[in-house]
Amino acid sequence: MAINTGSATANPAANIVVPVGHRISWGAVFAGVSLLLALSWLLLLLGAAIGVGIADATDLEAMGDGLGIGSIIWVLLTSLVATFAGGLLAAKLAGTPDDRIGALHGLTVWSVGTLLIMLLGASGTGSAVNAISGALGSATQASTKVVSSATDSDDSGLLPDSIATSVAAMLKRQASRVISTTATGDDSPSRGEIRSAINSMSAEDTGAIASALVSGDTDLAREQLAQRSSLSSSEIDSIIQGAESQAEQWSESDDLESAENWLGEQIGEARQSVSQATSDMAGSEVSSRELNRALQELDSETLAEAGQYLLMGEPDMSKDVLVANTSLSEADIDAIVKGAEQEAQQLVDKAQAQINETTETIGTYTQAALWSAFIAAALGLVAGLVGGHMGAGTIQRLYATR
Amino acid sequence: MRMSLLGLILLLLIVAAVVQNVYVGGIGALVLIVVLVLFLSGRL
Repeated sequence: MAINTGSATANPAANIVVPVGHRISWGAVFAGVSLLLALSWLLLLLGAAIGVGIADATDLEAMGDGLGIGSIIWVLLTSLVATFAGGLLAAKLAGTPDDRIGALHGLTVWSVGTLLIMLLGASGTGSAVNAISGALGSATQASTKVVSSATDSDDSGLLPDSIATSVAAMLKRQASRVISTTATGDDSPSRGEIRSAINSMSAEDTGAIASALVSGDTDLAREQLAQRSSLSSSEIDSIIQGAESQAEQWSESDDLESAENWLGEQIGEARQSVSQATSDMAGSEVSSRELNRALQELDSETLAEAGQYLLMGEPDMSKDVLVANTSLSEADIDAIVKGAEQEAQQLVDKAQAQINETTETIGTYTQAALWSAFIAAALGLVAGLVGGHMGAGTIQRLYATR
Repeated sequence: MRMSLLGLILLLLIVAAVVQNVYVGGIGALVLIVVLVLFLSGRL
């Protein structure tokens, strides 16, 4: 289509002036980008208000389901509407009659907007204006959390510190059992000495078991008692039964302290009978002084070091540490390490399984978030083109003629 | 022509996002890139 410029000539087409260069209006693009960001923020707020927002990084259960269909649709809708409106505004403000130039304005709005959102995301503020940036930020945050919690320990191969502590405590209990059973002699340790040695070993676990009892999780309490004490299964059963009858009273008052005291008494009674049995078995090989010295030598540093080697799957190194730092016999050390090795492996396997499960959950979430981010970006591109196209004037194409 | 192609891409991408299908999304993205190149080079 030719445009008559108004000058009176024989060939009007020859006088058409087509602007060449500077056809982009950066002011219009800036306005379009501003609208894109503002609308993104508005729709993000609306999404959060109506409950189709993205899962929080602290809620691993919600993250396990991925993004959720509502969240995905909302992210796409936000991207579509915001970029379409931005492109439309830019093309209208540019005032171009050519729909191709209008569409290019829409494309520029999309690219500048994407660049800005990326920069905002990198600086940590992207989640405030853009839903998908929030989802990606959430996934990164959760991954960082898991990686940092998993690598808290330095040497034990991606296992948390709590496992190393548990293994150290386990070694001590194991040592006590071995020493108690070999501590036999005329000059045998008194019942009280053995009882106090055994009691000191498991004091740190009482709180955890009491918490499980108060919360009504008797299975967990039973498992913890079996794992962390030397009580027999019938003794554990009687403690759990007693706890169940007391549970109602605890849950009413939410009194953890009284539960702990009660549990302490019960375990104490059960241990008393164990100690009695151990003392009764007293023979003539190890004196009470030797037993005390052996238990004192098992200081926390030695146990921690030996525990670390057990976690790393090097029981021989663990034995060497005990040989170097204690005066225990080779046979005792062999028995201690052998007994603790299996339990340590169970703990390691359990912790590893938990870490794997969490990593998988975050992987699913990150994959869904990245996929939605890609589709949202592509849809934004299309919406920008369409918006710019529709925002331009009614002229379909302007051709330059000589 | 241009708008109907963009509409088709839009539809493909939305379906890909909802069903979380990599193949549909990949085809949508490929068509989008081709259309974009044609548009920028003035052939569309």
